[in-house]
Amino acid sequence: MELRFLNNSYEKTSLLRFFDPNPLRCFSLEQIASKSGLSYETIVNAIAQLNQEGIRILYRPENGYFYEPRETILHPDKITLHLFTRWWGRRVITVDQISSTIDLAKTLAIDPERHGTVCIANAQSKGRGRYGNAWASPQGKDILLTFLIVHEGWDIPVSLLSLYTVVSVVRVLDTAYGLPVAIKWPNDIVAEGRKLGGVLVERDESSNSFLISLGLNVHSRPCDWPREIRDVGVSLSMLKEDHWERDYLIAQCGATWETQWETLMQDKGETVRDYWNRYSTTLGKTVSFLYRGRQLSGFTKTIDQEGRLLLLTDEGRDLALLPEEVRSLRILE
Amino acid sequence: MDFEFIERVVRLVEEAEIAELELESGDDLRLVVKKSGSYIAAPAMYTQTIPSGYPPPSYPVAAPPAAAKEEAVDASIHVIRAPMVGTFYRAPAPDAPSFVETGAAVQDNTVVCILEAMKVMNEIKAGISGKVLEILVENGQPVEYGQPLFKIKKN
Repeated sequence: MELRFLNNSYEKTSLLRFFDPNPLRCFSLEQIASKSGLSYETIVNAIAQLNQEGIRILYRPENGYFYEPRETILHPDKITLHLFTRWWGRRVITVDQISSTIDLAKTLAIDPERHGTVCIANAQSKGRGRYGNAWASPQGKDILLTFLIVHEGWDIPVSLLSLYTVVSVVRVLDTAYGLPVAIKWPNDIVAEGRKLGGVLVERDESSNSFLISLGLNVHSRPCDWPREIRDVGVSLSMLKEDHWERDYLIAQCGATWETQWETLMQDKGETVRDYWNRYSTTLGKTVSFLYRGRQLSGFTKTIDQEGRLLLLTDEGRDLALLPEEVRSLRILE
Repeated sequence: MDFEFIERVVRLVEEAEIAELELESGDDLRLVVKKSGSYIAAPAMYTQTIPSGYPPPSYPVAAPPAAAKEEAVDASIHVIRAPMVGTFYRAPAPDAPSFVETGAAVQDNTVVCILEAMKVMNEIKAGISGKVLEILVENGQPVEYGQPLFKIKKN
């Protein structure tokens, strides 16, 4: 398999901005130039580059250039095409396969322009969830991404940022697609009691950045997954027969993530907690979990300002759980 | 569809700035007229494309556009601004009553409107307690980042 590492560019996105909504329609070089403001040479070069990268823009001598869409391509310019964000996705990189998008993001953490950079993979060989749990990912079917943000102001706890990200994705799936999605503390997106996706937030101290990762099952099916998770996983296409477009979905998640950022900064997470409570499957339930190596159970009460889960254990003790302290949380009733 | 009609259509295509015309009449008649060596007119939608994320502003995020002078002068008035690009809706559904009307009392967490962006509905809260003085945007209108939506008289 040819390994491609693609970067978005202003020129290529500008071209796709009018080719993409009009598949198979022809445009002359003159028309493209007048609408995009690019020179003939730039246009021809950008079209050649897009063709090399798997986006087919063909030429008919009598009519001009036209775009022939192919569904499976996940191309950075097709993502930026949909974006109206100010900094999320200012740079988008896609790769066919990589050990993990987190590894790629880490190598970019030294870049002064890293803020808003999004790394997307078509497949991961060593994708991971919390505690290095494996995250299965077949080629070209799901969403696997990590984005980098720099935060120099308020010191936001990783656990709150994790809730914030989960809430953003769940709101997209609920309000734009009407899916019955819910959140299982701390970072799981679930539907019909099965796992649809997850979020992982890491803090990179050396670069003062957060690495925020999202895994979301889109087109994959149980036969694509390891045997042990076939019964507990679910994908968007299993939930709803729809023409799921990964590039548009990524843009929606990114845009929703960015647009709530100021609210998060202003209200210190109050709105996020409201949403979280609305979508949570975890609150008011008896749960069992491993806490610092001990098997415990208790009744969940609420989440606090930092995104910690507050509960009353069966031994009558109040506990504030951090995501990293808890493993194998199971809802009993 | 008679011969004269077809002739008229062909002439129309020749003269007009279109490259191809397709006509269907009844169940089994279909007429396609193509003009060779011409370009299809660019669709009008170009003028409506959503502003691009480029060029990205330098971090930290640029402040919303400066408030108009008269807004800044009166400290008792708070302006709720659009935190995103989107479409402004005053009600949760087309047939539902508006979240707030002029004169309504609002609290910090009162939802005042919805901004729809990329099919995602975002509830916008007042963020302050007071009274709605003025609603500055019509229902269903697109709004820009930082655009004033409501004027609130602070309590």
